[in-house]
Amino acid sequence: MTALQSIIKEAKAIRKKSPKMEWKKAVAQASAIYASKHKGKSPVGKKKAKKRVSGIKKKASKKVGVIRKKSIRKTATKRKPTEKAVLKSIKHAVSVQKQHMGNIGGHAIDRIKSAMSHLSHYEHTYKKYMAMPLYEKKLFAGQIKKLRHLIKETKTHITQLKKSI
Amino acid sequence: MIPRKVKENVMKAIAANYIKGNKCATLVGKKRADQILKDELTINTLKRTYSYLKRAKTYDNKDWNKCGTISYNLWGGDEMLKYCKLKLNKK
Repeated sequence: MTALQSIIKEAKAIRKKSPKMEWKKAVAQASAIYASKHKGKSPVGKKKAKKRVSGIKKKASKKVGVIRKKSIRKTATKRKPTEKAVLKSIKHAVSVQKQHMGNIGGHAIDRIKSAMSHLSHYEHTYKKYMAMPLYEKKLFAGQIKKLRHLIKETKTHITQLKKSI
Repeated sequence: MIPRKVKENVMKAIAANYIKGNKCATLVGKKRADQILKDELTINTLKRTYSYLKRAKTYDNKDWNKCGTISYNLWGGDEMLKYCKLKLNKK
């Protein structure tokens, strides 16, 4: 017998005893009696478990009125690398770098160095111009513009040189 | 006098709705159920009930967990539809 059937039966019995009682109240009383009979598990407001489409992982079906324990989620904690592993990785990085530096010719490094010195020179002069008062700055506006352009160009040149290695 | 079967339908629907937490049906439907149980139907309400039941017959699939069935039976269900037809001389 389903919960609905047993509640209706109970409500009818209650109504027989007191015929003037409203049906709603009788149903409420009957459901309370039903709950007391079933260890306090009232059927009121319970959702019916939905049917799942095949292919999707099945979850454990929810029993009506059963209090489920809260499942504790296991959080995936990242393992800390051991000291040995860290040392190994550092050694590997050093060896790779050494190998790489061995392959680079002295000429390429010289080119980069010269470009870097040019850049520092440009930046220095640019700073000098920028420190000037506004009136003088306006006088050298053309040169400042050129310097800005040069700095930008040399920077891109250096990055290109680094990439070519 | 409204037939006993109609009232039983309404009573069952009220109980089913109570179990669902009174989620189903509108206030009008709930009020109509009360009116049917108390025999307080006028001709106008009978007309309204007939028009509703005729329209809402498709929602009824005899599954008492469904709101369609519950709300249809709150208005009296199939028996009420027959009763309304009789009273209103509808073919």
